[in-house]
Amino acid sequence: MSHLQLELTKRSESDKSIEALLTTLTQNGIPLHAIKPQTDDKLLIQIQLSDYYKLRPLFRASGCSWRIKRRWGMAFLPNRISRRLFFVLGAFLFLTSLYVLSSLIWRVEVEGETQISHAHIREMAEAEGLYRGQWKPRVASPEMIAKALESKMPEVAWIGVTYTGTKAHIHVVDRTLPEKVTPKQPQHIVATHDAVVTNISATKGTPVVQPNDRVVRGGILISGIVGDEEHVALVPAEGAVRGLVWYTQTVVVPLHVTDNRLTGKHLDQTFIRLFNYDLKIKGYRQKAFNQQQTIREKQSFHFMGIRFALPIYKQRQWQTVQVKTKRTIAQAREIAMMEAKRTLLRKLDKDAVIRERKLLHENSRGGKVYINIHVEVEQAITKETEIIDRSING
Amino acid sequence: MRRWREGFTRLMHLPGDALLDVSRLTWIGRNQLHIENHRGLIRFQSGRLVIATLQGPLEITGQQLELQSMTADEMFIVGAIAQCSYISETKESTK
Repeated sequence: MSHLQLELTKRSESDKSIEALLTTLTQNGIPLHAIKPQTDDKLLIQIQLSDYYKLRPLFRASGCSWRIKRRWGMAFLPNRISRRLFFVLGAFLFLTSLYVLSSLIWRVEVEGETQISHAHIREMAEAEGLYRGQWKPRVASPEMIAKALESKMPEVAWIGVTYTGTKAHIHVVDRTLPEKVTPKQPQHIVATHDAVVTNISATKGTPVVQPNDRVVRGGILISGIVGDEEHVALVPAEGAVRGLVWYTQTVVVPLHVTDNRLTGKHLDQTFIRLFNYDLKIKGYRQKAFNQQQTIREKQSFHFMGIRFALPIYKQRQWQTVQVKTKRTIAQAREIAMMEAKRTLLRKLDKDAVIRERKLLHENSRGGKVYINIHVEVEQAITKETEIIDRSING
Repeated sequence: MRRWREGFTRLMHLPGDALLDVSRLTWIGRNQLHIENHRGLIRFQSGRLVIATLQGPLEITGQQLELQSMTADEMFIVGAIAQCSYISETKESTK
């Protein structure tokens, strides 16, 4: 809707009054708005633009003079625009440049751990039409580019191309190639411990010991030299050798022990943790134990099926009593044996087997028993050593 | 005819504007005045507005009076209206 504001002026006393003119206008079906008297013979009115051409003959007949003071509405828009041409042009230029600049690719980012240099990948992408300053509609679909890049770089397992706004991401995942196995150097299999061989099986090389043979640490078990006196070759010896190894353990067992034992009685408390303080909310009317062991656990708080992240803790205090026990020498021995086995097995490989345990010596001193234990373990005793002296002496 | 209609309206206890050409004024608060069935403008100066009605000229005085809209039979006046009264035609003509 477009409106006009008119200023009406009565030109001479002899003419009809402006008021009479307005009355005639309304009687002709023209609604008037915002009628404001200015001076005695001046008046402002507002009319719709479409009524203006109907008004003009009536104005002329009345002898009033009129002047357009203001205009509003769409009908006058081109008029206003022409007055602010450069402003409108600037706004238009801004919007178009915003659109154009946002439809360019401004950054190409290469992501992912890869052996190939990022610069190389970027070059490849550029060959496919994906580069900085490229117009987005001219770039092929991300799938197409990814496919083309993949075919160019066989060492890559997967390439993903995505666009976020003006940024292009190239995600590269390398193919994990199996590690190259370097051919082994000629080697001997030697003993790791002084031992008695129980079992030997050589898959490569010449076995030089037999079961029940005594070997010393570093002695050759399977030789890397094969062949007879005429045809000799060096090979990396391989195989498994097991043997009995002796260990001596010293275990100290105290004869008097005090330990805490649970009685089974307990108290339950609930806490809520607020600003580094524990506020007990349950378990006030309880008498604490002399000795106790506390177990605390966090509890999630449920209410009407909803889990709340409240810092609520439940605490259970178990009553304990100190119990003093006295051990006999026989009990101490038993404990020492167990202890020796346990510490040894912790040190050795999983396939080690304890064959025998013997008590060598015991010495009771100052309420403690010192016990020496001999343990016989069957275990793998192999170690690889390269043959350094390549000259074969036979 | 006119007398007959007046009699009918009185008989049926109808409001005056239903059948008769009397004007109806609605004064809303202090600042709005709605006039139906007017006969046109007589005078409009700042602070004083005279409207022709069948009952005679109606004078409205106040400050910042403005005719917000005007059609053939309705008017809507806004402004700080102080007084609204019927005046004698002779009084108006002298001004």
